[in-house]
Amino acid sequence: MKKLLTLLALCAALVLTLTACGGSDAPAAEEPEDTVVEGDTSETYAPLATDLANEFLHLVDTAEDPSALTLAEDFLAVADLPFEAMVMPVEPGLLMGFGNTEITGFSQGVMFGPSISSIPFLGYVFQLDGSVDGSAFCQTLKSNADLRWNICTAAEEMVAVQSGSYVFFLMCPSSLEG
Amino acid sequence: MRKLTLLVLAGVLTLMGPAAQALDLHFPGEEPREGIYLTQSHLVEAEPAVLPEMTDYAADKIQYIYDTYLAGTDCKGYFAMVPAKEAFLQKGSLTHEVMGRTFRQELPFLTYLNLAPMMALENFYRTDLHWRQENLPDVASYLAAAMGTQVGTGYRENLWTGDFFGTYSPRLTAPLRPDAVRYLTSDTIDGCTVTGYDLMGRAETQPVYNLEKAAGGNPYDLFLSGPQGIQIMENPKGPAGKELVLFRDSFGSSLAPLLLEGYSKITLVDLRYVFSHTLNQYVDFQDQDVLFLYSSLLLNNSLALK
Repeated sequence: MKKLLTLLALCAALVLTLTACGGSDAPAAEEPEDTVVEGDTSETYAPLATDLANEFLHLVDTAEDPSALTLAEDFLAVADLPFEAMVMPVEPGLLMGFGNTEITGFSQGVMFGPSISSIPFLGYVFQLDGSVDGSAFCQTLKSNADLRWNICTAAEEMVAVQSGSYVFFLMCPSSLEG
Repeated sequence: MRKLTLLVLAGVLTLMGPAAQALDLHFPGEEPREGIYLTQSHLVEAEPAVLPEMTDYAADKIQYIYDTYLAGTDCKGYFAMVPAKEAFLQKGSLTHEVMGRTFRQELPFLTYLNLAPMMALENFYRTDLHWRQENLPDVASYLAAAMGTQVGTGYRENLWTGDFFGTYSPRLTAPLRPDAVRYLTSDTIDGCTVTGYDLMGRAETQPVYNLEKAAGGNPYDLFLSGPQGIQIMENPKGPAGKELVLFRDSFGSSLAPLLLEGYSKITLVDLRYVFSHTLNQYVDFQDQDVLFLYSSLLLNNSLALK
């Protein structure tokens, strides 16, 4: 009887072990904290991306007749990033960070990111075409964004905000310290 | 008593059913799950189909580099591709062959160096996508000879003391033996200097093998400190005036030290982390060998190249 109980205990342990190893799915990729709001980022849970988006929204509010390029340059000037960054114009079509999906619907667009660094930080400022629905545009960005766009490093936060005809999009780590 | 034992065992086997099934799902042999499958003792990622827009973008980017920096100089250009692990299975993927044909056609100004014949599944870590440095001396010798220089194959093999659960490991819940990370040293490698750049673009000295980085998260970052935009390796005992510019992805980190003996200077450029239109700030293209060495994985995801 003692042997049987020992066997039972071993079998139960084995079942539990196998279930733990194989019963659950592989850990799901972490969902990014993200948001799509117009002129307000208060209901978000992506602290760094949201802070930076708020910087952008403030710029849009205060800039006179801005372009996507000047907004991006002004953003980098005030954002206090711990790395040297660079802005580059982009055209509608395939854009870095959005996989194989063409991003269209904007008349002006710029990409910005670190000049020489592997920090997973990639941002865009778009000025939308007149007829484009900003919310739908932001949703397209969000749903196609690949936080691991360069394979070897991965962003942790994502934000897409619209203010008027401008859209700010950013993928970044949850912290830029260290 | 015997009846009871049989009853208990039958119950246990029934209970084990779902778990055993789940294990089968994790070890399907040939059918990918979460894009990953276990075969021939390796975790392998199913390669996606070749995306023409991605290979076109990569070819355009290399064409841009050639037109902007290499045309009109005495630089000699080469192209080599690292096939993904799946290419070396018994029923292997043909992605690298399709891509190879494409790049040979689209980049006729570069000499195409075919690495596939000298590689096998054993060149790769079992749990990761990267190749193992200790199995690369032959690949390095081939590349060096093709570019008109020589490297030896006599190295001291060192074992990094940690376990390497590669990038594919977290995608399975079943236990799998970790890989060992070995790295090769020599008098040439020990005597070289490596210069990289910090976040603000300031030059800084770096080790060839960064044990601290390896312990910090991804053990493959042991090799040349992981992802870096620009790095310069200098070999004071190398052939004078013989220089290499290596456009690369992460596979170049473990290969570059093995090419050092054939050069006095190797400049590594990872276009994911530095803008291509700023390269003249870091490299003076004159008469170097210029090797574009990319994995098929990156070439099929080439929008990452700035």
